[in-house]
Amino acid sequence: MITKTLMAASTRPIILAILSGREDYGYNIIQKVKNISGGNLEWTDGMLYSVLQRMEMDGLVTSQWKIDGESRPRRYFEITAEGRRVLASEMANWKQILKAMTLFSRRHPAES
Amino acid sequence: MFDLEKSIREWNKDFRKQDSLEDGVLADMELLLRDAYKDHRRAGLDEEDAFRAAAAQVGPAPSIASAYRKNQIAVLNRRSPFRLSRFMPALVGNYIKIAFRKIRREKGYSLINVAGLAVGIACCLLILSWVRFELSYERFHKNATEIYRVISEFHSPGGEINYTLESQAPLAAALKQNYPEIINSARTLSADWKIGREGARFRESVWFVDPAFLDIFTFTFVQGDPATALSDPNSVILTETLAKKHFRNDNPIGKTVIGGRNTSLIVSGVIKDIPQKSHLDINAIIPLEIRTAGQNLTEWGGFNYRTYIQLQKGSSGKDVQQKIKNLLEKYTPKTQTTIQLQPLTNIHLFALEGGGMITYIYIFSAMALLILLIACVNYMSLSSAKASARAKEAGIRQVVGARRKQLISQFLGESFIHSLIATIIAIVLAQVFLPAFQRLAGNKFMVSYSLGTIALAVGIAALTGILSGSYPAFVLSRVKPVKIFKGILRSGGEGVLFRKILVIVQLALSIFFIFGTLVISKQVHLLRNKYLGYDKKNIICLDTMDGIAGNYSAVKNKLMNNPHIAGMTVVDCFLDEPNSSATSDVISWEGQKAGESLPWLIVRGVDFDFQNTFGIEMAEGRFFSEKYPSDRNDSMIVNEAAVKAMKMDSPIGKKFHFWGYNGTIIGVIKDFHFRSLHKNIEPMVMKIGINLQRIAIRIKAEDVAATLKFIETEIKKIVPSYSFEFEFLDEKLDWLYRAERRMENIALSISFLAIFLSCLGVLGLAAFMAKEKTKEIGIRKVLGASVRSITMMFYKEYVRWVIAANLIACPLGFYIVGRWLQKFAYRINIGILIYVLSSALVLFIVLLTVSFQSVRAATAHPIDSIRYE
Repeated sequence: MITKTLMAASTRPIILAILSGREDYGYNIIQKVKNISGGNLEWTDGMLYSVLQRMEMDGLVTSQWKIDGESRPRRYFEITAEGRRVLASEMANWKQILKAMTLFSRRHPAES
Repeated sequence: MFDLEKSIREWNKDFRKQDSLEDGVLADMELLLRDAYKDHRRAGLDEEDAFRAAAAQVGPAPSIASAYRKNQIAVLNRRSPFRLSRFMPALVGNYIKIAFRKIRREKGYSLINVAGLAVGIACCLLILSWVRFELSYERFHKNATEIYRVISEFHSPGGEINYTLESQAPLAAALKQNYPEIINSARTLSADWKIGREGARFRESVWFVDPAFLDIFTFTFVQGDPATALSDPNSVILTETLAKKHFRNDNPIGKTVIGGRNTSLIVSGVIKDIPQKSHLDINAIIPLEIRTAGQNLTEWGGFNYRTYIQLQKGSSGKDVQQKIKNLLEKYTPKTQTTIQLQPLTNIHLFALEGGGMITYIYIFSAMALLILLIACVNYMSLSSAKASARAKEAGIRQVVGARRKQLISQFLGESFIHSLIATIIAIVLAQVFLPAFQRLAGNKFMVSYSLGTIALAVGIAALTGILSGSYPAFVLSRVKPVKIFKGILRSGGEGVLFRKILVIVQLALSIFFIFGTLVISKQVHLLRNKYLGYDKKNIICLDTMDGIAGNYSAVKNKLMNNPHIAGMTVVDCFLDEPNSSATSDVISWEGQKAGESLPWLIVRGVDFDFQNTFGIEMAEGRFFSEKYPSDRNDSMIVNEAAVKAMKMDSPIGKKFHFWGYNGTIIGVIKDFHFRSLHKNIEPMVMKIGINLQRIAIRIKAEDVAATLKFIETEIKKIVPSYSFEFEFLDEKLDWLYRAERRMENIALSISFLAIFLSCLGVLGLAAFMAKEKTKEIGIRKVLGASVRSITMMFYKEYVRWVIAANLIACPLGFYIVGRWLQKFAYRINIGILIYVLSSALVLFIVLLTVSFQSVRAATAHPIDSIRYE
């Protein structure tokens, strides 16, 4: 199970990474986040959606309503330049952590 | 039967209860629910289960609402809820509207403000354009910053230094040979030479130069090759104008022109005319060899050539100057002469003895800024006087949320709009007054509308806007609205002292300008009218003896028969031209003690008629006379200054030696001025026959035209080819003081402007004061005050201001004007009278300006006055 704290720390970079490929709508993004976490997530879709809203307030993503083939409009999210900058810096941080964790996992194989 | 839409509506109700969830979020949540529902249906759940699973997946409304609330709080914490946006474009339109409304409503004030600013800016624009023109001299040469002119400095034992532009013949080569930093050097001689096609020759400014001259300076060749143009000694390069003058549209290359006495020259090149902005006044360039043929050019004795050098790129002029300073000691060990380098770009600006055009550039730039300052002061004082009226507007704006910054930018913006309108008017004014200003400044510069000028105009407008709008902007924006509405700021309160200071500064500047103008005028009058030791009127100067030299006696006898001709003589140069000179190493005299020397001696070549023609008195002994044959070779005459410098007790009969001449002093001539009055009279020696080349004729004041005609006819009878061009000596001498005359004219115009602008300010302020005191005047009149006493009330105020202005203007004026006078050897005594006069003049003009307003206020009917408002 991924804890709330770890999820809180990793959701933003994961969403940014998803959006760095192309724009997407809320439900799709949330499903991708859930898949990445292997379904071990304590958060509901609605809570995850509030993260997207917060990221928009912080200027990392922008959104606009679009109708694509269906009758209902959907809110599509797109990464901003600031979002890309934050993503790059987060990626570097996470790689650093991963490196450290990999190192520790070699020393303590039993715990890995 | 399960109804999806109904279930969703029910589900929505929970969400709608949450305050923190806005409509947009609700729509988002519903979409999430629907998407999840579809997925579960696809996975095989029935409708009801799929809905339940989807609702669980989206999550409970309270926890989602809580997450959104956290988001909102985080954002609210980051930004104050009442924060105004930094920039409100909607208000800019309002600011502009208000600015124009003010102009429309208060036409009088706006006219004074804008007209004053426009005149100030126009003046500033003209003067700064002129300054730019003056500073751009010589810049068209590609290597302008690497070119230097070599100056010779003669040092006296007393520490005095005399400068000359000429240097010795071998110096140019020696400089290039000894210092690798010097990559080119060239000697030049310039002369007014008769040159042209046979039968059509005119005097032109001809430069004789070493071939390297063409490498140092940048000339644009229209025809011919600069590399070979001077390789033949008998070649000549003409300017386009001169080539056109003689050859019209024919190709001049290879054609012959005649120069000097009878020298044939082949045209080898045509260059574009030298721009006006150069000290190189060239019509034709000829190889130097033609003038130096047969001379010994290895001797270090005479200072005859102007030498130019070009340094390697990146070499420092100062370093090279330090290295070459004492070079002459190497070749003439006893010399007291050193050499100095004068940058090409400084030639037009800096005089060798200090000062020069740069002084005028500084003076006029300062004047331009002061004029602008006076115009800005008008604006500031009027705006601050109007502050009480604007205060209410500022107060209301503050109450409805305007911040200080916004008010400042509004008021600054307003003054910027005023100054922008003024600048546009100023550009038109500058164009209109350009010809008049060109006459004043003495050259044909243009106010060109290049990017630089536009930047200058916009810069001036912005500076003026900020300067003039700063006081109202900063003061009005600081005032608390409550004070304004309580009426504490009614009379323009805080601004009173400030306005007084501004008006006093303005009046002080006006007094200073008028004082300066009067002093300059008086000094120029002295320069032009001082008795020079001889009567300078009615002397005709003929620049050349071409053709006359061999027939001089015949010409003289013919002319002297005319009773209107009082005297005729030949001289080496006229009294306004630089003389030949000798330095201490070639001067000695009988009775000279060890350690005594004459550092600098002017040598004047004369003939026997010099004293009679010019009417100069002798102090001792006699003048040269044809009765004494020895006078022709062995006699010399010195002036009083020379006797004093040599400390001779009884000079008559003493031996004197200069250059290679040995002789006896037969007379001491009274000191007379032979150079401009900037300088003291220097020691001088006269000798018969040295380098005689100019003719001076004294005529009587009656029937001048007929006498001139007679002279021309008689000379042409004997020398038909003579081209009769004359000048009057007093006019030539006047030319020496052209800079001072120009300054007098400009100072006069600027003083007029200063007083005009100050009066505009005073007029505006008087009108405002009269308006402010309307009620007071009405009450005073009801209580029995007379028109006179009320007018006096106004006058008193202004008299006090003028007195205060004097406290600034007096020390400032005496200091600055005193310093300017320092550069004249002969100067006026400033005296307090001139100062009192300028001060009184300003007072008179100010009172005259105020009179109109104060009398109008004083004669108004008291009922109207009391009813006012």
